[in-house]
Amino acid sequence: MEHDRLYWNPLLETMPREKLRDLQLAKFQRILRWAWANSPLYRRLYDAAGLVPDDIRTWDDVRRIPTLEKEHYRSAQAKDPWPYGESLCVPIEEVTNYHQTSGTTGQPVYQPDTWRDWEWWTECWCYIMWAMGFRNTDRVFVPFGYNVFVAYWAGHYAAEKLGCEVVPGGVLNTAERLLKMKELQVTAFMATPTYVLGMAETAREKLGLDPRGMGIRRILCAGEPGASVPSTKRRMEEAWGADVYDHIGATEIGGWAYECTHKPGGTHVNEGMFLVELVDLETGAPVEEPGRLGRIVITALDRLAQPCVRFDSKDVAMWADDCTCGRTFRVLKGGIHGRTDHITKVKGVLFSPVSVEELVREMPELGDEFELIVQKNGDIDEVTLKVELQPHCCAREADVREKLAREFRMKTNLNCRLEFHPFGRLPRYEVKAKRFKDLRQDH
Amino acid sequence: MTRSDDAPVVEIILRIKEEILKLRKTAGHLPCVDRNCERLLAGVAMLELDIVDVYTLLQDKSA
Ligand SMILES: [Zn+2]
Repeated sequence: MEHDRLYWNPLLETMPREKLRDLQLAKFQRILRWAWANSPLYRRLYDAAGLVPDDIRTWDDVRRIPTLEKEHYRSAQAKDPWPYGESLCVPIEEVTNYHQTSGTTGQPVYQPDTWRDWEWWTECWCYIMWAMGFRNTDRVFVPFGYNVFVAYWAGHYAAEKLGCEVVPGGVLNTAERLLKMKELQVTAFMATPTYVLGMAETAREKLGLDPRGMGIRRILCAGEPGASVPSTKRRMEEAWGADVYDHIGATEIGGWAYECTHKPGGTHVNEGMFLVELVDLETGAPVEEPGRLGRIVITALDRLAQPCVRFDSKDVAMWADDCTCGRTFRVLKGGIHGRTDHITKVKGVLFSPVSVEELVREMPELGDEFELIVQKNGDIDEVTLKVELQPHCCAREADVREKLAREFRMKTNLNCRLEFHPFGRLPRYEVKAKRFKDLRQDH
Repeated sequence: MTRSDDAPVVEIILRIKEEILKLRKTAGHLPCVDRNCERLLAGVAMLELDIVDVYTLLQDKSA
């Protein structure tokens, strides 16, 4: 009985792998049939490849199915009915929830959900939050605004479903939020890693408040990979005296991966609800073994209004060894390692901005914020790293500079130009941070 | 849940679904019944994903 209480759904979360794979294949066939039968977007995509759902019987067959990209949604949504067009699989009057992507890589993708789909979002988040230890004894602060981005909407609904007490924290500035959290003695909150660190800084610098004394037990992170970057996670946990957990999700996909209380150094994929395939960055061949980077191709196995079948998320990840918590769901080591459009060649060397985050956050002399810029100096690629020195370390700038340059070289095989800025001068972000800029024209 | 009580649980979930659909058919002209049934069915759909699918889909597989 107690064993069962560890998991939101032990039936799925501890299912033997072979059975789980069979279930995934059966669910994949079901969602494929649904998308093909109900969405002109999918019908066209598969017709062009000469495939019908009945052809798909094995895992090799699955890999023959064309992947879907954001651009497919965008062009399908240019058609009627507005705003979902030909990607919509249900009568439009059944749609109860609208969200959209942020549009950082172009025109936003509009996301319809029926009430059943919304219940599904919530259910997926129940897997996430239960695994992180959220229970009905938690008072959860949700510091985000009432808006079109899916952000923590499902977190709010899932917290309710788990029986937590939910405190809406929108329409307040950071200091006001902190004071409300303190007043109500909240035990948990959810935010991007950037904002988790920013809140701690505001508490200390502006309110003279030690976040460690606020009684926060757990923090759920999303939106950026930071909570799976060991040095960033450590900074957050030390700042708040709380357990910090990572989760991965996206508007078009759903909330699909989560860290458990065993903290395996990555996130479990919810393989009962999603199929995650890792494919080789260059050849597209499946990556099954732990420790090798691959691009994520993902299917939401149960989402109906606007299905997500073999979606090329452009995210890069690697499998880890099994977790000790008893879940048979596979773990992505270190969560998301970046995006294929961020992992880029600089001076012919493969360069991942996430590795620089780890480096900066590992050095206690540096502040939490940084900026990374790649640009051309004549014909030569040049990397600039902007950092802030902690106020009490100003006298040691030369030493820190030398150490940072050395570590950067060791980690990336590249040299970089270092800029030291006074503490508090680099931009602070509340939602998704934009710390990496590739300004090369031909890139 | 242990192995031996899986089947009754699946049966109960499917029976609840059937009853809600029956209720909707019988009194769905009342908006309060119709919309509450919609919400109930969404909740039952999650129990289907969590539990029923495991049996029905894997059974199909072994058939
Ligand atoms: Zn685990």
